[in-house]
Amino acid sequence: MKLLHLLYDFCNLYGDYGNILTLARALGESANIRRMPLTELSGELDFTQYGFIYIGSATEKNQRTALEFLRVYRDALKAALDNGTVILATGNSFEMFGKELTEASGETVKGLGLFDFTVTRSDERTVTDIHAVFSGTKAPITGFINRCSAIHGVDSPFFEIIDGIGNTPDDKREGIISGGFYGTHIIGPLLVRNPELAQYFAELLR
Amino acid sequence: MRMFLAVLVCRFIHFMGGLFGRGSSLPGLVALKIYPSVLAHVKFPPAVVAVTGSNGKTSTVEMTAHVLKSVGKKVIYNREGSNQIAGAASLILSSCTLTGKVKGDVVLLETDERYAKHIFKYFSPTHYVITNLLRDQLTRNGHPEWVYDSILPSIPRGTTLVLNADDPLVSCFADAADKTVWFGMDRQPFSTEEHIGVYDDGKYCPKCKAPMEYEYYHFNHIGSYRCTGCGHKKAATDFTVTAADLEKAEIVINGEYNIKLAFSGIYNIYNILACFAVCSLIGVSGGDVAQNIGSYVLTNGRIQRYRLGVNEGMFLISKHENSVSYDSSLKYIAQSGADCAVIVIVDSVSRRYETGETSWLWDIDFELLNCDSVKRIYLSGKHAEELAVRLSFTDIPADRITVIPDIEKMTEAAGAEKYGMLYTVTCFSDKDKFLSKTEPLENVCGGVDR
Repeated sequence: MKLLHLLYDFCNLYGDYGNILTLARALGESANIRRMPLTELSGELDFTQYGFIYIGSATEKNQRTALEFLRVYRDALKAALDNGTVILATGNSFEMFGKELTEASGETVKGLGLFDFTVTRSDERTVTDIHAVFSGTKAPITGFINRCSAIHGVDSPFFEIIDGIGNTPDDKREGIISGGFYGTHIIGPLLVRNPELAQYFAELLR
Repeated sequence: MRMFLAVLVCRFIHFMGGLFGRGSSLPGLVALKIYPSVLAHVKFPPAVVAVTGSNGKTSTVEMTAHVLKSVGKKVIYNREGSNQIAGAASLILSSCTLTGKVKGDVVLLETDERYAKHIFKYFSPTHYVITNLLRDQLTRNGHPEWVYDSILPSIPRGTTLVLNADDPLVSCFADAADKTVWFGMDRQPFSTEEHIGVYDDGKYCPKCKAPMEYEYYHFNHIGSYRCTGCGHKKAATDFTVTAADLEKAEIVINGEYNIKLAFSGIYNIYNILACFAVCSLIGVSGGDVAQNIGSYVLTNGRIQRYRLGVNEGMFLISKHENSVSYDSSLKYIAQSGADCAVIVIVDSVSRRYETGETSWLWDIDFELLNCDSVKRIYLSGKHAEELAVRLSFTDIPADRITVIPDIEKMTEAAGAEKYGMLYTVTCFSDKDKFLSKTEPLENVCGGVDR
């Protein structure tokens, strides 16, 4: 099983790399992590060879830069998803996969457009612990949100929030699941804190 | 008249606070209610120094205050914990005459990275030191670039910035300054050509995000860098550590001023250098600064010796949610080389707020403890199990790790077996939970910088 840690050196703010290490451990010896730095996003890339792709949180500036690099590979990422690759995007990295992103200044940029949701950014940060329910695990999920944005227009959320905030401050639904794509604004080693969730992804990949 | 009232009330509450042991920002809070723009009408002395940044603020301010007092200047300065606007108002107004004139030669302020812009709306520092921008309390600070964006609007016209040239993100502030003075450290025997650590915040340029090249690193992303895209690079320094010997605990500044270190650590060297720069800039001679820094011993109790059962121990205060602070403690332990055991306690993540957020554990380079001299590692506190998971992803042999969440039970175990030395690494928030179980020993070591 080949796992890709996409932009491991650029979207790496909150110890996110713990997620892919934990998943690899849950999968056992067959798992093999390929770490791809920003500088390797050039030329032809085939993402269908990976069973799983992980990407973590970034500063807002890094996220915008990452988005421009990934834009070139929009179809390659889509092809991987269509081919059965599972993608987990945590923190603000999942914002890149939506339709568009509007900065606090009013500037709007196109997202990768794999999904229809939109993102609005503000000058204020929201930080909070969250407790949430996920249909794939028995135990509730615990995590932490640290963001300066809101997500609009998600029909199929990842989590139902018990405590904390969802995609917008008054939404109790957080993140997105669409096909093999899992996006959540929870930062840090989510799969470490929630071993059942790591098992869920391991099962999905077996 | 409002000034008179604000100062009077501030002084009165300050005095009463002294009697009742209340916090230091209340007098300023009340004074600001009476006269919101009071700080804009205070008559400041010719030197007003502000210090901000992620790590080293408090040590730099305390050391600078010591040097200035030693050469006969009257210094008005704040202690840790009162670095927001009400704290600054308390400090300044309680040091004023009733007509609003500061009774001192220098005002020296430690300012919180996020609140500086509110404080400097009303007055401008003459010199503004920015030490570094590191991953620190990301739960409330967002991330270093977010902190950069908070500090940026606090830089007033006419202020001289005193910047750490070795920090690529801090160096960007020069673009917003009328005048910049640079401090930094030349390549030293302990500098490395490769980056060491779990994450590398200097890998890409903070300005244009192109890859950066480093000639050498002192720690984390602090070193000599050049961007391969826009050319952003370490500036030529005005105040320079030209030689540093960690074993002899000695440094040389600008090739001529020898300074003995009370505590031998790279971070401490930067604090001393920032102190040297700012004291020189406000007119103290290099010789006087060197002599008086040499006599300074950090008094904030960040390193403490203790006895626990059959062992002598050393308490190394570190900050939860601040991986660089942990790394510096772990490096100190690894470099000391003598046989030892290490206790790591994470019980309350913060003194100020409740959170279960422990992602910062993954930014700490625990691999540093994978050395032969570290015979045992005790993990304790509410988050002991999470620490254990984190350490399971290092190459440290599992049989060297003992997990005892209950702090009291852990101290019984650690005190029963003889080790050469017992190091304890934890934060202010968990300090007393541990030290209360030990017998204090006299401190021989000056202090540790953070």
